[in-house]
Amino acid sequence: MSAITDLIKREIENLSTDATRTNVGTISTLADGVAQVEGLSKVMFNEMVEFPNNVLGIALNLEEDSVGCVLLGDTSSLKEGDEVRTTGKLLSVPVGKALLGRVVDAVGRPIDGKGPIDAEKQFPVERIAPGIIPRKSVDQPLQTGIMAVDSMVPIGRGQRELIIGDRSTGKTTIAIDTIINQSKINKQGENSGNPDFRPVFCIYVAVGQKNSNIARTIKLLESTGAMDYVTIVSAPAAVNPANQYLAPYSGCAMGEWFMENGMDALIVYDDLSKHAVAYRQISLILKRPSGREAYPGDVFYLHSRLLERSARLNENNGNGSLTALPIIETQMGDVSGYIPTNVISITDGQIFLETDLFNKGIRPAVSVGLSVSRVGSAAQIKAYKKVAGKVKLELAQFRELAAFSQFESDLDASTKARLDRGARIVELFKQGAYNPVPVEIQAAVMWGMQNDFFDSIPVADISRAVESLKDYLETQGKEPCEQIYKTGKLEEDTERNLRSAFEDWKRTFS
Amino acid sequence: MSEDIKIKKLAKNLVMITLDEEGKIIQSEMEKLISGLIETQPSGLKKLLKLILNETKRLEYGYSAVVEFNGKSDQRMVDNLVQKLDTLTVGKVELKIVETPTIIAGYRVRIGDDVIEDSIASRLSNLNKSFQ
Repeated sequence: MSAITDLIKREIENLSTDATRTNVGTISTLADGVAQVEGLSKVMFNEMVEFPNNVLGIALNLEEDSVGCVLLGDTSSLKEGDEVRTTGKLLSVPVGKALLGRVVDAVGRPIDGKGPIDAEKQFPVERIAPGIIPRKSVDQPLQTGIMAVDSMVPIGRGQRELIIGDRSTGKTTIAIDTIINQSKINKQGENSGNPDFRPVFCIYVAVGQKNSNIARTIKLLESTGAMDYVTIVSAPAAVNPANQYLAPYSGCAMGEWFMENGMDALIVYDDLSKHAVAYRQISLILKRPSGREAYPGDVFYLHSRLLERSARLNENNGNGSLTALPIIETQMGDVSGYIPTNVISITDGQIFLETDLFNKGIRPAVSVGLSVSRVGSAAQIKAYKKVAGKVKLELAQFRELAAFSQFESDLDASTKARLDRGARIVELFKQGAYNPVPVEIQAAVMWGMQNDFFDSIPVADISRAVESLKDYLETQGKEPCEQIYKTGKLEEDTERNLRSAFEDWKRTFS
Repeated sequence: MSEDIKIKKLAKNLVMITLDEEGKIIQSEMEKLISGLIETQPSGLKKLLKLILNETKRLEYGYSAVVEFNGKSDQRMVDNLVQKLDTLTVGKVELKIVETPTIIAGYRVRIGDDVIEDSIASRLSNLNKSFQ
């Protein structure tokens, strides 16, 4: 009880008793979450404005004698003629470690029923991306735990890697797997007591998704213990488009706090196609001129200013990073659509998921030809670089040869060998959802492939063999993996240990 | 140019011709304008009249201040306010004093789209926000 009275006393003491000067306006029209307000002559662009019943809005269109505001709350209580006030503040969201493990809305208010968030700081939602001087090139890996990705399209801390594909091809699964893997690595690193260990904190921004899907994701992250390192920014399809438009920027501000305080963070935007659609809706209601596919002219800037905020900062600026995994949904595999091409051109590479591969049971359905990481092997540990260097080329050659060999009955020995190797790599890369593999085990498995340990195993048994090998390397044969984890290298001694471990495992595998 | 912008511009221009040298609306000119419009019945008359009303309100706000208070009005306070507002605005300000019990105590002055407020109601509202 005394705590409550203390709080009230403190608030009364801090309360300003000076006369206040505000700028006001009145609602002239109100439709689809957008209000036209007359007055507000001194409002700033992107300023937060206050409607009756604590409904907040943002001034997005400053016209000669009216202001177009998007509303962020329940608009049912508002009516024409209601007073609107400026707040003098740009829209800000709470930031910091207090947000970890929490689910918040687009303006950072908790929606998980776990009480208020005790955040020390607020960051404005819209910020200018770091310039050229504080940046440095990406050189530290961010492991997804997915063999097909970590070996062929490695991602580095501070990179922007697009996940693109048709509906139901496993885009969100790749992002969630990556988040789960970060939590595993974080726990492993914290237990190791290594003072140089840098955990990766994650932010998952859900835009325009079904509430049931978001609930499933939260449950999954909680059940895998990943939620301790994750903040979820939720702007489901049920909320008005203004919230969906804002959510990625809010999440980004939360991630920037980690980056600017010398930490590493990962942000997933799921997905930017729906984000663009929400922005189109707002722009059309605000009567902004529309262009291709009715998107407004600044739809490129919408995503470029968001993704440019992900960066790797140099030592003079804290050495932090913000890695972005934006997701884009294509229609019928068409990567040449308006929004996909925009985002492809902004990001540092893309993981393209193919429906055909997915339906054939090749999951994750990563398309070798269309997936690329512009950071490349700079974002791989040395051990992995050594074993995975040629795998993308081998797999690409396999796909090409496999297409040609359909018409050829008599194949030469070298083509046959390549086809055999390719088929085994395809099987090797098959991986169940939400089951990320530590990088040292991935490197060991890849080493086994490069050293022909899988050649005697029938293609149909490869998946089973890989599972059995992973179990073996986590239990009996963990010594070489521990060496890779500690040194990050594949030294002669490690290779010797790997060879004997593989020989041991092969004797047990039937 | 869209129809909306055209009609907005027309309303603005029509109101402009009713202004005197100080930029204040001449009532007789405005009456003439309205009756002329009603007589000729141009298309979109209702919308045009609404826009004229908005424009008139906007202009009136610029040179008149609405002072809301609760309790008895004090002539000294009014004089002080007029003096202060004259320094804040260009030209003479007309004062409209309105009694508003909902502000509980203190005052609230609205001039144009600026609101200067020192009332108990606003302090309570701020306190309420600080607890949220």
